[in-house]
Amino acid sequence: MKTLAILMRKQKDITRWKIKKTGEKLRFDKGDPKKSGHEAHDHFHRLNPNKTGKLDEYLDDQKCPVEKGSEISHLYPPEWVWWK
Amino acid sequence: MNIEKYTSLFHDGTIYSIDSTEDQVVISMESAEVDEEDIENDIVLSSNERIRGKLHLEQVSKIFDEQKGDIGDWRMFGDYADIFRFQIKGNNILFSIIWLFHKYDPAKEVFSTVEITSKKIWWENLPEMVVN
Repeated sequence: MKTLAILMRKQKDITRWKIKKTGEKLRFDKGDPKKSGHEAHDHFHRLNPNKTGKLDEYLDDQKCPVEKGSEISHLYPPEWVWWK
Repeated sequence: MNIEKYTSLFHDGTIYSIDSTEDQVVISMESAEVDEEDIENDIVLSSNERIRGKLHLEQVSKIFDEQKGDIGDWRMFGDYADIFRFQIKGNNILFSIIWLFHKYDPAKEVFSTVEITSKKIWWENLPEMVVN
């Protein structure tokens, strides 16, 4: 199987990945089903290498800078979304 | 206001500052973006729809860093911190955080888990608190 991403770092339930083809850096937050909200569900953040602070910490699904903690900074592949 | 019921909303939230004095720790922090449906009428959100304020820990008897062991006080290590886990269980408060810097520098971004034992825990809701 072809590896699409390289594991850069693992810190407990947080892993950082680099997409081989594009060089994009992603953070994967493992969900805890005992919690609620985003914390309960596996999700990604797309890291912004040109950030200047928390207001442009991440990139959204269109690769536009977005604020840390914003709804749109949480990325879910469509097939993962199963709740309303 | 009971902050315990809202701790999950602090995942992806931010710690702005930590003030430690003798047996007190005051943490200026905010949640991630909150949907008003997720909260009751007991809390006013900031203009960017966060729970924002200060967590006051009084009569602190122990601050335990998972990597360093017992530490006398808890200080800022970065410009701000990303909150991964925030839990309150009885007198114990647990933070799993990543220290971040304004400029992207993954080599300096340290993951840290700190558990604080405190007799008194209370939340000061400050939706208009100025944050950087």
